[in-house]
Amino acid sequence: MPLEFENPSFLWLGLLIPAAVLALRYTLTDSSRGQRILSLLVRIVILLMLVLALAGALWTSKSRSVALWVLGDLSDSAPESALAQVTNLYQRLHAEKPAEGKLALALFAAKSDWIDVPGESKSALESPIRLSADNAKTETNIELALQQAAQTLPHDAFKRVLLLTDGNQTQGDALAAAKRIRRQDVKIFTQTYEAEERDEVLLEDLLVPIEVQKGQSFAVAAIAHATKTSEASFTLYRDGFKVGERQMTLQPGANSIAFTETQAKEGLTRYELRVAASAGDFYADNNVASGIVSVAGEPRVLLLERNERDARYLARALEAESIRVEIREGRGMPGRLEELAQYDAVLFSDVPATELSVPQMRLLRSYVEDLGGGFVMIGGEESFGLGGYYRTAIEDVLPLRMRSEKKKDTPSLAMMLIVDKSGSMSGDKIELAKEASIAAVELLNERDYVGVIAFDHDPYNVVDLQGAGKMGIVQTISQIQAGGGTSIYPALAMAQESLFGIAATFKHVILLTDGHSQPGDFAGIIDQLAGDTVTVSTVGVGNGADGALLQNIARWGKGRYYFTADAYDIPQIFTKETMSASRSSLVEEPFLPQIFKDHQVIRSIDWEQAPFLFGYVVTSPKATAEVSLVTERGDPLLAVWQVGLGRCAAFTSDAKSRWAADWISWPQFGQFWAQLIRSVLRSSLNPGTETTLESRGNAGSLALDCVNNFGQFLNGLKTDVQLIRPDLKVEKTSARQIGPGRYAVNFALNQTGSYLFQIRQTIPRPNGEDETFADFTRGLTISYKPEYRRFGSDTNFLSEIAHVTGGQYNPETENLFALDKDESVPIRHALWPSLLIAALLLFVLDVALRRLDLAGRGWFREKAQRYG
Amino acid sequence: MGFAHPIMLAFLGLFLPVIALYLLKQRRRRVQVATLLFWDKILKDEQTVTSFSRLRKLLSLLLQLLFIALLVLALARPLVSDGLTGARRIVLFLDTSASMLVREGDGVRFDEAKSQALNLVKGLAQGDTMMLVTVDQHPTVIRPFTNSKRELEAAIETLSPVHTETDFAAALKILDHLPKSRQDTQVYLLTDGAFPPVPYTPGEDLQFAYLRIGKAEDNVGITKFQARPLPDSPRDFQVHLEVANETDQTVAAELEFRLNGALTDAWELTLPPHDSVQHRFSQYSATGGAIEVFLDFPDAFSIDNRAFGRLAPLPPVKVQLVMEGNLFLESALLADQNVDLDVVDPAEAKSAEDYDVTIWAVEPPDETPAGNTVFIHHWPPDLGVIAEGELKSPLITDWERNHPINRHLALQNVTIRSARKITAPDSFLPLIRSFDNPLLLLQESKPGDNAPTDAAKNRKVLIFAFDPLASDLPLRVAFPILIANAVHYLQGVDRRDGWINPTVGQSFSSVDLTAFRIQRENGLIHSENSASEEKVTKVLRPDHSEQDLIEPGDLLRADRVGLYYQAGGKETIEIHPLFAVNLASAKESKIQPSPTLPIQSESPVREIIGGFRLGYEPWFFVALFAALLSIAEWFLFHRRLIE
Repeated sequence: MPLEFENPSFLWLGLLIPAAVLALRYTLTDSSRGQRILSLLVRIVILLMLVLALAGALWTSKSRSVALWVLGDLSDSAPESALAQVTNLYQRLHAEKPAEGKLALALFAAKSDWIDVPGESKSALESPIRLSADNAKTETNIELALQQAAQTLPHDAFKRVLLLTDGNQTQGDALAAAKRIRRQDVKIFTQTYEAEERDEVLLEDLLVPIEVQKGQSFAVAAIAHATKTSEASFTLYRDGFKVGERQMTLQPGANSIAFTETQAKEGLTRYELRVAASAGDFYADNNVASGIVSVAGEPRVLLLERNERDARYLARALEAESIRVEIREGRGMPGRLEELAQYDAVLFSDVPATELSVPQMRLLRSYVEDLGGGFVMIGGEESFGLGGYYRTAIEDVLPLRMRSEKKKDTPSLAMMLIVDKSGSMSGDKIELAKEASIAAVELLNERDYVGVIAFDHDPYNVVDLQGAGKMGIVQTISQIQAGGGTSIYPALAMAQESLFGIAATFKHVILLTDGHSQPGDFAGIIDQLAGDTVTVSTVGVGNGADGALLQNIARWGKGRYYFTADAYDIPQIFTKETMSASRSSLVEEPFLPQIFKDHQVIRSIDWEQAPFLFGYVVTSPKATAEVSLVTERGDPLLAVWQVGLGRCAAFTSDAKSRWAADWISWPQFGQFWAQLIRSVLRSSLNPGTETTLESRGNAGSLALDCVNNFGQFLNGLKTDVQLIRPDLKVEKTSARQIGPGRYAVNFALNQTGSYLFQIRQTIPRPNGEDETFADFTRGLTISYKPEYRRFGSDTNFLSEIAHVTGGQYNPETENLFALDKDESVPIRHALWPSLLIAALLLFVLDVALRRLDLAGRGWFREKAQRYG
Repeated sequence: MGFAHPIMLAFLGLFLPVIALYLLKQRRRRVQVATLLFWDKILKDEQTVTSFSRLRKLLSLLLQLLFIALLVLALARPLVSDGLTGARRIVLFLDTSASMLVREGDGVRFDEAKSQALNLVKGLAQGDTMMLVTVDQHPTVIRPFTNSKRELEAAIETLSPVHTETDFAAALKILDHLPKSRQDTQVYLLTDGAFPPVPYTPGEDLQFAYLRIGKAEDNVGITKFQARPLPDSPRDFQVHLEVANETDQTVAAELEFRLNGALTDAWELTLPPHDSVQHRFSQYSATGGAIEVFLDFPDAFSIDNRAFGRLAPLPPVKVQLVMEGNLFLESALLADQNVDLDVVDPAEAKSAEDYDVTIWAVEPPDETPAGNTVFIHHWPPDLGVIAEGELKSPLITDWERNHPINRHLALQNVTIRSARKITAPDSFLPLIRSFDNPLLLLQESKPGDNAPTDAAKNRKVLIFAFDPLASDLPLRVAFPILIANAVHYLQGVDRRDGWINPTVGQSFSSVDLTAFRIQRENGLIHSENSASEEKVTKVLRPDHSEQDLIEPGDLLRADRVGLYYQAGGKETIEIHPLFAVNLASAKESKIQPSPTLPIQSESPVREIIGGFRLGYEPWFFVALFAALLSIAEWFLFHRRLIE
C-alpha cells in the first residue's frame, strides 16, 4: 500500500466533511446552487487535505539508491601511496555514481576521520584530504571504522561499505564487527591497495618455550619475512649479550631461522634476535624479535659489591649453603626488569647510590614490590645514608631510614653548598640541584650549620651560613633561578669568608657546576680553605663541566670529585657527601650484636659465640620493620620487613674484612647469611601449572592449566596475577576459572617492551589461611608495534569479511552501485507540506467562489436559469 | 522563534487576491420581478443594515486571512527554542539481554520494555528523529536516526531478547560516535539495569532517562559451566559448574545431569543466600555426544537453569602390541578405554598400516614398517639411530614438558637400571633426556617431506631407548599417562582445546561451522586425516528451527542457549552437536532491577525531566487550528453571520 499514515488516529477529523455538507444543507446564502455545490466540493477537498496532513500521510515509493561509504586505511602498514589511491578511487566513484547514489569518505587508522559526508557543505573533492593529527598511524582499528559507518548509513538506500585496507588490524575485531553489522543489512566490499615496491625484512615473534628446566636444550626460532632475495645477518642476544650469529640468504616470503640454546640461567632469560639485511629495508623497527624463557632451578642471587674482590667472603659462604651467587660491581646493576627478574634476591654490599641511576633504583623497587624479589642492603662506608640513598626509591623498600637523629656526642658540621646557576643549568639541572640542596639541608642537625651560595658571573648568598634547623631555608633555596655565566672563584672566596671563624668540628664545601669557569687563583683559595680545616668536594654535571679543574679542586681540598652525565644523580651525590662529611652516620668501634627481638632469621645461631663487629652505619628503623639485632648503642643492626610482594633486609655492618674481619672466620658466618638471604628469597613454586601467553594485536591472554601429578584437574584455585608493564606500572587482576583446571585472564598490550606476570595461586581454606599452590613469574615481550608486523595484504581475511556480509572482495567499481533488477528499498515521503500548499491554493479559489457571482456567466447562467 | 522553511512565508502573498476579492464591487445580479411594490421598503431596510454588513465582510476577510496565515505558518515549520516543542534527537537503548526474559505476570520483562518502546515511538513528533539500539552482548544499531514512526515500530515489533549478557559499556560507546548535531541528544535507557553501574562520563550534549523495567524477583541459576576431558583418559570428563543463589534465603535445589538425553546422575545442592556453590563431578562417556545439566528450582528466570555441553566423539585408537609377556605395558594400554588393543606374538604381527599404532616391545623387523610405530629398547637399523653401549642408571634430567606426549608427566627421580647410549639423526626430537643422551625420541614425517621410502611418508616413530620394565616407571602414575599420550599423539588426536565452546551471541558463517564439525568429528592434527569436506549448510537450532547457510552473508547467530546441530547432514553425526552455548553468567543471573540510572559518572549526568513528552511539532497544532477554523468559517458563512 503506497499510502500510509503516521498518526492514523487523526483521520477522525474527516467528520468535519459531513459537518460542512450539513452546513450547506441549511445555508442562508443566496448564491446559485451550482456555485454552492462547487464551493462545497472545494471546501471538502481542502478539509480532506488538512485531515490527511494531520494524520501524517506518507507516500511510499521504491528506491534503488545505493549509499556507499568508503573507508580508507591510512595506517603505517598501508603503502605510501594509500592516500593517493583512496583519493583517486573516491573521485572515480564520484564520477561513476548514479544520480540517486550517496557517497561518503572516511580515513582511518587508530580512529576514523569522516572527510566527506552527504549533506555537509564542504566536499572532500574541494580540498586536499588527510588524516587528522591526533589519529595515530601506528594502530589500525577496522572495527571502529565499520561500526561508525554502519551507524551513519542511511536507511532509505542500499547500505554498502567499501573497505580499502591491507587487513593488518591491531585493535578490535573486524570480522566480528562485520558479522554484527551484517544484521543491519550492510554489505562490505573489501579491496586491497595496489601493491607497491617496498623492500622489507621483518621478524615475527621469537618462538621460545615459555618455561624450561635448567640445562635443557631448546630452540630459539623466528620466522623472517622478506620481500625479495637478500643476504641477512641474524644475531642472537641473551640478556643483552651476543650468543649467536648466522648469515643466511633470505628468500622472498617466509624464512625460518633457529638457534639451539642450552645455556639459559635460572630465572627469566630474555632472548633477542636481530636481523640486518643487505637489501633495502623500509622499516627498521620490525627487525627485532624477543622472548622470555623461564628456567627452573636453584635460587640465584645477584651480589653487587663496590669492590668486586671484597665479595668473595660472602659469596663463598653462600655457595657453601647451595645459593648460587653472581657477583658484579655496583655499575653492573641490570637496567631491565626482566634481567633483574632472573634473580631471586639482590644484595647490595657497600654500593653507593651514585653508582646507580634513578631508573635503576626504581626498577629495584618494582622488582621487590611487584615481582616479589628479595633485597638485602649490607653496610659499609658507602652504604645506607653514607652511600647517598636518602630520599631514593631504595630507601622506600628498606626497613631502615637513612636519616638518624644525631646524638649529642657527635661532632658538628658547617657545610657550604655552592651551586652553579648559570644559564646552562636551566631546566631540570637547576631544579635537581635545588632538590639536592634541600635534601642535604634535611640531613643536617640543629647543631650543624649550612649555607648556600649560587653563582653565575658573581656569587650571592642564597642562604647565609646559619643553623641548619632554622625555618625558611628550604623555601629560600627553591627560589634560585638559572641565568648568567660561570665564575667559580668568587663563590669559593665568599664561602671561605663565611666559614672563617665558625666553630664547627668539620667544615665542608660542595661545589656543583656544569661549565668552564673564568680563570682565578683556585689553588690559592683552596689553600686558604684548607688552612681553616675546610674540605672541598666537587660535582661536575655533563660533559661541559671542567673535569680537570674540579678534580684538582677536590684533590687540593681533600674532598671527592664526582662526575655525572645525568642530572638526576645530583641529589644522591649531595646526600652522600653530606652524610660523609657529617660523619655522624658512621660508627667505627668494636661491638657485639645484641638480640633485640627473636626472629627466624637469627634462630639456630649461637649468638653467645658471635665475634665482634668493628663498625656500622647509623640508621633508624621504620615503624613496621622487624628489628632483630641491634648494636651496643641501640642502633639497628639487622632488620627485615615485607614490602609489597617482596621481603627486604638491612644489615648495617658489613660482610667483609673491614668491619666483619672476625665474622668471616666465624663458623656460623655462612649459616647466618644463608638464613638471612633465604628469608627474603622470592618464592618460586610451580608444581604443575602450564602457562600459555599469547598476543594478538594489542590484546594479550594468559591461560593457566593446572593438573596434578595424577592427571586430575585442580579446581577452585584463587589465581592472582600482577602484571608489570614495560613502564613499570602494575596492574593487579585475577584469572577466572573458565573450565576444569583452566584459568584465564585477558589484558591490553599497548606498549612495546616486556610484560612480567607474577602469578600466585592459592588453595582457599575455610579458616582463611589460604595455602599457596604456585607462585612464579612469566614474561612476554612485544618487540615492536603490531602495525609493523606484516607487509602485503591479508587477502584471506579481507575475502572473509566480504563473504560474511554478502559483499565482494576486490570488486569492479561498477559493481559497487549495481543492483539486481528487482531489488529496491521502500522510501516514505511525508505528504503534509504538499497537502497544506494545495489546501492553501484551493482556499483562495474557495474565497473567489464565494465572493464572485458567477450565476450570470456561461455555464452558471444556464444552470441558474434552469434551477433558479 | 525561527522557521525551518522561511521561504514558505512567501505564500502570505495570497493575502492579496483574497483582499482584492473583497475590494471588488460585486455586480448586482439581474433578476426579473413581477412588481416593484415592495422594493422601496427593502431598499430602506438595506440602508439600515449596511454598517452591520460591512462588519460581517470585515470579519469574513479577517477569518480568511487568518486561515491563510495559519497554513503558511505551518508550512514554514516554526521552531521553538526552549526545547519544549522543538524537534528532538533521541537514542533509545532497548535491553535485549537474557535478563529481559525474566517472567513477570503473564509475560516477560521484555513485553513491558517493548510496549514502552512503542509508546515512546508513538510519542515522537514529526520532526523528531530516533535511533534504535538493542543492547545485549553485542549492542547493535537497529535503526540509525529516522523520523519514521512506521519503521521504528516495525523494527521494535520484530525484536526479541537473546540469551546473552548485557554490555551496556559498549552500547554507551555508540554515543561517542554519533553524527554531529546542533541539538542535544536525549538518551532513553529501557532496561532492568540488572548489571553493575557502567563507568561512563557523558558529553554535555547528552541527557539521560532511565525507564526501569521489571521488579524484584528471585533467581537461582548456573553461573559457570564447562565439561573437559581428562588429560590421560579422554573418555572421562570433568564437569565444573557454579550455582548462584540470588534469593534472601538458603535454598535447596536438585541438579540433574543428562548424557545424550538420559538422566545419569542427580545431586541435591544447598545454597546459602546471595552466595554461590561450586560443584564438580566426573563422568564417563564412550561415545561422546550431548550433555545437559538442569537445575530444578522454580524461579522467574529459566534460562540459567540449564547448561549444555558437548563431548567430541572419540574414534578408538587401534593398537597392535607385539610382545612376549609385557604385562605392565598391556595393563597401561587396557587402562585407556579408548584403546582397541590387539596383543600378538612377533610371528603373528600384522601390517602396521592396519592399526593406528603398533608397539614393538620385542626385537622388531629389520625394516621399519609403514604406519605409526613405537619401538621399545630395540629398533630397526634403517631409522639411523645408532646405539653405542649402555648407560648405567641414567637419571632423567629433563623432558620437553610442552610436548603433548610429555603433558602432565612427573618424571623426577625415576630409577632406570640401564639405557642404550644412542646417536640419532636430526630428524629425531629427543623428548626425554639423561644429560645429552636421549631416552625417548620422536620422528615425525609430514606431507611434503622428502622421505627416503614410501613407508617413511606420513609416519610417526617413537623410540624408547630403555626398557621400561628395567625401571620403576611402570609403577608410577606417569606411565599410563605417558602411554596414553603417546598412542593418542601417534594416532593424531589432539583435543587440548576442543572442549571450549563459543560464547552465546557469536555469529558463525558456514565456513566457521564446517571447521567446528571437522574438529568435532575427530580433532585430528593433520588435515589429511580430517573429515569430509562437506560444508555445513543447514543448522538445527536449540528451538528446533532450522537455518540455511547457503548464500554468502548467511550467518548463524548463536543467540539461544542450547545445542546446535548440523541439519541435513550425515546420520552418524546427529547425536553430536556442533557446539553448545550457555549463558553461565553470574552477572546476568543477578536479575534485580537497579533502582537508579545504571551509569557511574565522574560528573553529574543530565537527566531528562518530566519523562517522555507526547508531543507534536508546532506546525501540527497550527494546522489543526486552521482545520477547525475552516469549518467554523464555513458554518458562519452559510448562516450569513459573515459574508
